[in-house]
Amino acid sequence: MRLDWYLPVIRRDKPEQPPRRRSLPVRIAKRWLPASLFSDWQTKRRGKLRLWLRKLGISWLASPLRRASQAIAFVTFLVLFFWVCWPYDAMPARSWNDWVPLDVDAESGRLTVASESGATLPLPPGSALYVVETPAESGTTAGLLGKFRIDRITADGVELSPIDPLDEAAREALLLSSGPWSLRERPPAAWPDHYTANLAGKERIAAESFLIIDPLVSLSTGIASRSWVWSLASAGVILAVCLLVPRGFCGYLCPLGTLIDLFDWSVGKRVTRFRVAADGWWVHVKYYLLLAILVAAAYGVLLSGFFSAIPVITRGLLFSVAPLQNGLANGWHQVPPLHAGQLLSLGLFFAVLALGFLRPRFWCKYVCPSGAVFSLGNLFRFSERKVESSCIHCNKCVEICPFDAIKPDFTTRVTDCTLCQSCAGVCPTHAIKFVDRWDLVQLKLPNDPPTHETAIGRRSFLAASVGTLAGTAGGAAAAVATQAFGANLDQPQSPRPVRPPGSVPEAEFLQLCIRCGECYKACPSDVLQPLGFLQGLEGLWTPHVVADWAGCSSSCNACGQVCPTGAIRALPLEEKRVARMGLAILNEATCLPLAGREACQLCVDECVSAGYSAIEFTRVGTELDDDGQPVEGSGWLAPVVINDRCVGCGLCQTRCYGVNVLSKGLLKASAIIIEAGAGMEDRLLSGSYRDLRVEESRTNQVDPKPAPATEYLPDFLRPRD
Amino acid sequence: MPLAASMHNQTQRLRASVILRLALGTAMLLVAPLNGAAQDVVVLKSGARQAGRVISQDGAVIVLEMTVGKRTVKRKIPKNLVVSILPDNGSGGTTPAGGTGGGASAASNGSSAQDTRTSRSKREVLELIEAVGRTPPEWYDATQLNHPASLDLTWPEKPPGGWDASKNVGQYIWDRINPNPAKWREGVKLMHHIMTESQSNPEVVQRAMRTLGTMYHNLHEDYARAAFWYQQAGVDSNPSQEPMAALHLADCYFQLGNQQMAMEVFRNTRNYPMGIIKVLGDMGETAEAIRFAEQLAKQGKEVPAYLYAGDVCRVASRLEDAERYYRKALAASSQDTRNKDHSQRDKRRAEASLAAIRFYQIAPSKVADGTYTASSLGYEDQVEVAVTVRDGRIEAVKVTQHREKQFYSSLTDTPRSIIARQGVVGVDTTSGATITSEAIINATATALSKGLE
Repeated sequence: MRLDWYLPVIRRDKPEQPPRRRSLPVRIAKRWLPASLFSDWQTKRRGKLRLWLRKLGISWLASPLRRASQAIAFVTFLVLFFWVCWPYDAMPARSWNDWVPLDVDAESGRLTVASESGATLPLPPGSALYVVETPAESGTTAGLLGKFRIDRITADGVELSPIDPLDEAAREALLLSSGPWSLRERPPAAWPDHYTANLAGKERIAAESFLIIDPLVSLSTGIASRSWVWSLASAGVILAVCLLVPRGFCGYLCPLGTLIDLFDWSVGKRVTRFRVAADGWWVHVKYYLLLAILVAAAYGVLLSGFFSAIPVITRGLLFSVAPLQNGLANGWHQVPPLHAGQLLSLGLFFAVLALGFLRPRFWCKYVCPSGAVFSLGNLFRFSERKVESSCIHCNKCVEICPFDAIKPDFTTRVTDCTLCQSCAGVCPTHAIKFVDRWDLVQLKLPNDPPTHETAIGRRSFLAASVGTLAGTAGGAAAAVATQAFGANLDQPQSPRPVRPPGSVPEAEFLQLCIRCGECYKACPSDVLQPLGFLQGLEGLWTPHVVADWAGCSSSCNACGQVCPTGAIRALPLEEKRVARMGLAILNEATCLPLAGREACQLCVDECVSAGYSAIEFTRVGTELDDDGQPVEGSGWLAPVVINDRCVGCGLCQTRCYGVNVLSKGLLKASAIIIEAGAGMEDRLLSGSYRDLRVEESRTNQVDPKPAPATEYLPDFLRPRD
Repeated sequence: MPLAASMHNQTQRLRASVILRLALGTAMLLVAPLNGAAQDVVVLKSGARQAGRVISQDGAVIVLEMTVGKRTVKRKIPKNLVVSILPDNGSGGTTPAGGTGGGASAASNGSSAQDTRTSRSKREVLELIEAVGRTPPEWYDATQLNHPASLDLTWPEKPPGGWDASKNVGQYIWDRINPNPAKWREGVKLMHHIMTESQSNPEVVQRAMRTLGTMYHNLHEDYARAAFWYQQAGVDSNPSQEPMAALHLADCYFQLGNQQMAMEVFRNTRNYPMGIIKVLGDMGETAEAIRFAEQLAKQGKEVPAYLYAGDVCRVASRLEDAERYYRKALAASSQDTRNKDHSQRDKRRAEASLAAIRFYQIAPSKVADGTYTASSLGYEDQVEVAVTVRDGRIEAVKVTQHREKQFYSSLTDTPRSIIARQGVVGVDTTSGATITSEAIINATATALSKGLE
């Protein structure tokens, strides 16, 4: 078995031997592509392909496939992060009002409609439209006259024909309606879903793809929550692939590795004063860090988010580049201010990059605990790099190896080698091969020149023991400390942040949330923001709803869709819209009408237009006349929250805060606040929120028996039979 | 003169003049068909009617032509949908069977509610009330009971513990049902529930039926059912006991197309509430309405009485009189100290109308093209309107901001009526939504004034 995909250096074909047979892809390429691209193996003339690759750099020339794979993975990661998780290009369904029916053909269902105001319809012929009688009742399908296709748009009007054949009632409704009609992209009772549809339309591959293939993400969350995390499956797949391409994730896919490569190339290599030796106590830090993380996870504390490769880069970009993207596209007032927790994350991210001043890819080689998982996986590798006896000790391979995976005797440090094959691409004698680990043919002698490495000496044993102890103790101590100064969920008065809709119960949530920040990126208008130190380290960077800033859009379920670990369940919109994330609590002392200050109905309007109708009016302060009868028009209309309809989206709070606090300065804090905690939110590990609501309404119903139509008339008015 | 006697006197005078007018009105109706054009009526299988001019009926399709606004539109009706064609019978408009109580089929194709009001004989009205009233509205079965469990469904007249919306039914309706359109159906359901649950208690049943009448009239604008339940509650046989209910019942009769029945209720009622001025005004009985207003003003209710008189004059295009009454309302000192806030609000409304009235007669032809916005005081707050004028015509009137809780129909009816009349003079206020309609009218007039060339 050979797994060679590097570009071998050109050697002239020996004239006495028949030309070497090329591999199948090369033969196919030579047949269809111009000959000038390819090198001539008789004359050693370099082809254009080689010249171009050389211009890109020696590592591109040595192993172009690996660099291309890195580039594609990196671009994919950026596209997923900056485009797929960018909600602001979602457009709500449009509607056009005040259209009058000119001609109605009740036979065929064809219509000609014209705008009362002379407006034109910005849709191409062939588009589908719902024709609705206005004023349509909100929340019902009443008024829907049918679904039509635009046949023609003329100066006189728009010609429509029905998409489905109309029944008699529908044709009569068309005949009797005299308009005005509204033409809509979605039917009248349809729940808006533009954010959901936008994300689903863009998610050709899952937005969280890179997070779920980071094995440490799923491994640590699985251990911490002691449950099956679905992303463990994809981590298993990538580990299985890495049996063939050991540590291939690090060499070929990891966007953090690529970013570090870019940093080292553009900045790191220019500053050499901090360089350290290739060997030192730090070379095994990643194993001890991994150990600490797993020990802490066993205690139920998730530290992996701090150090795992993909969460580190996701959060790094989230706090550095994403605000720029948001600010440039939507205006700087839309960018939430950063707090200490976010600055800490940014600091860690830049520290990771700055490690490149010590050695190129210092983080990947010595620190990254996700890489350590692959290194350990390498113990079970099927294939590896081998050096044949034709090696001339030229040292080119050692110089180009990005992972310090080649020993001084040119054999392989198998736990570090990523099978990037750059070494083979620069080997002048083609002495390096990538074969199954049991292939022992023509191998070069080991320890020539001497490596001065022993299998395990006293010092390295001591170092390993100290490291292991430190890792275990450190992990345990971190776990204990985090929990001691953490969320304190046993205490009833401990702070309960409002979590995203569909979050699992708080204890499990803290064990599952990897703090990658993907949900913030996908959340329209930054409702979800990272928690600071409210729950100590335990809740640092976990998402919570900042309803003063924005409310959760009723047409969005993005956070659950992009969550890699299931801390936020991937709910379909029908489930999400009834999943309670909190409850709006009215402050009766400050609410303007309740306090008798002035009329205000911001929260009611907001709730009704969002489709929840969970805040209604109640008349307060009604005056009574001498007969004890209420005086018409006295008092105020004040809001009242209908608890079993409120999902805690926070739109009411956003509005009250935005108008009454920020712009009018009437209040110091919003008079309606979303609160979470027992009885105020649904935190389910599994199961349907709709079923929960149905169950609730059954138990809450005043009159459990279904209301029969006969109840309309009292007995004495009913016809006797 | 004692109050009752004065009222009685007034009723006598009223009766005479009303009968004369009704006779005249009926005669007019007979000679002048609506819209002035020949009207054929196509009766569809469901009983619904569509009026227009049949221009061809070849083959399997009848082509009907009619005028909507300034446009001539066509309806092609397959003959298999049609029961019969009544040629040129003089009555206009679309008249669905039992056509009250909302629903898509009750849409009017005329310019205002008044223009399409079908007149019906007393027998027809009573039959309609009986037929519609005994059947539940279409949303009835789908509506769930949803009131607090603490509500005392025995509904005692004087609840122990005072007004408490979570216990007392009356207070619950007042505080929670009335301000929330989403709860109006639920409110009706609750009344039916109470009515059937407490059948042994005639007092409660009667209260529930009367409340049903009020809900159907005020909230649902379902006049047939409102009248049915008022009748069942005995309002028609003893109107003086519940003057407000009697007033609503009269309005129901009028809305259902029989003014005479409405007047009959008035004849039998004493102690009219203020609303009678408005109802009479709507009926076109301006003089009677004003006489009532003067009468009520003498009872110390000067502010609202003069305000309503002003409104009536405005609808009747007697703008100078309207102005005079608004001024009187403003000048009046309310002796009714109890309802000081109420008087204050009436005065603010009078002020708003007075401010707008000088713009009432602005012809759109004198207004430069453009969109103008203005607002005026409505029931809850300012109602803002955007008026678009193009080529000397009012093209659009849109309510852009409002906080009104009830009578959404006025938010569309009134603008439509203004466009149809190309001005605000004589525009009828939507029944029961006077204040909102009026705010729209005032705001429109003010908006037009901003574009005067």
